[in-house]
Amino acid sequence: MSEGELSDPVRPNPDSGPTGNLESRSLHPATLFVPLIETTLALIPVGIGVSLFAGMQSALYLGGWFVVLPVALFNIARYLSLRYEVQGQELIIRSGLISRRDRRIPLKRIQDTRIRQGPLQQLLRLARVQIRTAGSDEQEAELSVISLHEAELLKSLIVRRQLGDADTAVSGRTVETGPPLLELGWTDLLLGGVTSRLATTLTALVGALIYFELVLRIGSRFLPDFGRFFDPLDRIPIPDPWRDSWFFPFLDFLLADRLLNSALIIFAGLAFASVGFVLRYFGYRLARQGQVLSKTHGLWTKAGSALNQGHVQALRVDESLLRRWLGLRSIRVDSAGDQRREDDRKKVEVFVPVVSRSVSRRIIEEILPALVSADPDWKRVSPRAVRRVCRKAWAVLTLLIVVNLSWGGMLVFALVPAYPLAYFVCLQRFRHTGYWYDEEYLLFRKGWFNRSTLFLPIRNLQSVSLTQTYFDRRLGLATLSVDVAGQTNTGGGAAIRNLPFGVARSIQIHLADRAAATRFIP
Amino acid sequence: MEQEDRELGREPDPGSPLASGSEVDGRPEADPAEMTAVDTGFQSLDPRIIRLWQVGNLIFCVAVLAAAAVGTAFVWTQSTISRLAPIWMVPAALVLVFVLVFWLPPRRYATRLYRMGARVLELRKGIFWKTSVMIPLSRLQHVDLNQGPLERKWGLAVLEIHTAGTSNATHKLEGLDYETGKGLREKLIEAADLEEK
Repeated sequence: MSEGELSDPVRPNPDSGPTGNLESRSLHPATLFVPLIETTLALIPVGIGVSLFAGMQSALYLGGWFVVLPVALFNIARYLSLRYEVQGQELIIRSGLISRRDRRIPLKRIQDTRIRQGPLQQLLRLARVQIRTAGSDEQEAELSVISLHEAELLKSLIVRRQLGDADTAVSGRTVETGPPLLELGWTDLLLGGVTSRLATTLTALVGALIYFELVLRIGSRFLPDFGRFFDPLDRIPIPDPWRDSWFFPFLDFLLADRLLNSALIIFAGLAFASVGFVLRYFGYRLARQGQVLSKTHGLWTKAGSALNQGHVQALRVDESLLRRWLGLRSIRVDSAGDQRREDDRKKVEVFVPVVSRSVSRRIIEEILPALVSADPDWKRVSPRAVRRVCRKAWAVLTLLIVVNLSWGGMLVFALVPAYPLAYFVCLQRFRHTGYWYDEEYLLFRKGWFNRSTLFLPIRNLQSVSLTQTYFDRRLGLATLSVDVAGQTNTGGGAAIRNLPFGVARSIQIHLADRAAATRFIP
Repeated sequence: MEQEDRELGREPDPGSPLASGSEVDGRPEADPAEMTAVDTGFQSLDPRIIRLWQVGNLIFCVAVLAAAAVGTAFVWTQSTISRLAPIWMVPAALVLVFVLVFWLPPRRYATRLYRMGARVLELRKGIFWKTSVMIPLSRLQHVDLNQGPLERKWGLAVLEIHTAGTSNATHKLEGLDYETGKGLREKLIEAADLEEK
């Protein structure tokens, strides 16, 4: 392993004494300029935009006074004031120039430790450490910028605490790292990229671009040659005899018309998505060390994290249609540090970006101990779910037809086959909705085209609810929902609809009872 | 275990979940269809909460009706429509007051129930949408006892139970007698071993 690379979290470290303490120290002097450079670089596109409208000078003026100066002052203050240390069981961070802040974070309570390196930081062997504890939406503490060496040291101390005294301190040796659970090669990364949801998004993005170009003709106003990109026949040298041949009109139609453009767009979208995916997950490596799962990945921004297996509140396996055909899936997990719903500021993170079905089973069974099977004998909800959902769909269809008839439209004939189709979809969804539980886990899967399976450790359930609407009561059905301590990545607890009431009630009692008998450790 | 079952007021399971889960389309005959079918051992709230809700809803009605009256007066002065047009608001106001002040509170009272078991607290509510929440006592993070101005006057209290959950982390139990609430809070904290944590 070369220097400057994220390494395994626990390795014998000469700098941390036998007590595992870390002397009080300040941030790396690079704090004075690295964040400043990163912010400035990130703002260059905005700056260009501003200078287009308001001129170069005002852009520089605005940026200088309102971005560069505050960021510089902030980082100087932080460098001067922040001190951190590890004393016994606590990470102590003192900060603040004017009002002092003294935070003590018990190492055992740390949910998740992350080390991130941007390209500049990789070059200078610096890193940013993010620490999350239970119940906080934001990370509890961030140390930026410290040297990679220090970051590794801190992480290894935290992980050592997480592994527990029984594993390390008492026996005096470190827990061995087994062979990696998963390493992603080029094939995995490319397949993952092509099938990622990002592909859809980017396709839509490029589609919007084309729309602006072809329909609104905005691009050509600024860049005269912009439109030519979309008219490939002008650019492809085609021999003259071909042009005269009988099939040329067809070729012309195929190429010049939207067909090729669409293909191009899709291809470009896939290429972009693959590049993004590869950049993000390059060198993905997941390893396990006692209770702690650590992963590292990333080319542009290198990220490493250590998560205690016991802290997993929920685990979700996703299979989109495309990935399912290729036998691939992805895995997300939530710890109690992932409290908030996904929003603009809280991005969803994928734990395992892409993995084959068989390997995924092994990984899930590694993350969730004592799980009987990742694909158990699923139980179905009440078959009345089919009729119930289908009737809703039919009602909408009927409404559409009635409205359409009143216009005298011909859409009616197109809508009639939708009735059996809707029934078929409802039936398929019902068949692929299933739940399963034992003493340790509650499993719930749903979806037909895009499938997802949720694994919830019962010892981490927070409450178990049963809800009946008026219609539920008429049909003797109920919805069972459970609440867990993390939801950002997995969407939180399950809501199992259309269970027969008696079944739902007995599951509710079982889950609440099992949860009550165990102790929740966030 | 069986003794605890009785203590929790549980009925024997209506058939194993496996058996009823795999049934083909047909009524789950043996199963009860509603929550009320298995209710035993639940406690009601303090009946004074009905009066509290009535007062609260009355204040709400007065506010809404006052706003409506101002709006109507404004329309009256501005438009040329018949002066009698807003008359429909009178029955609407009557219905609103009847539903919110006289019809809803007693029914709500009848459906709000709680049961403190040995290891699980269960809360029930809902007239149209019936909900039962089971909170394992070992999951309690902290328990608050709150009083609004009217509640302070009448000696009522609201128990607020917090778990580490996300979408459903806070559970409220309104309408407890203050002393009952205090006792329940003590019991909850004791059962949850909060001090030990």
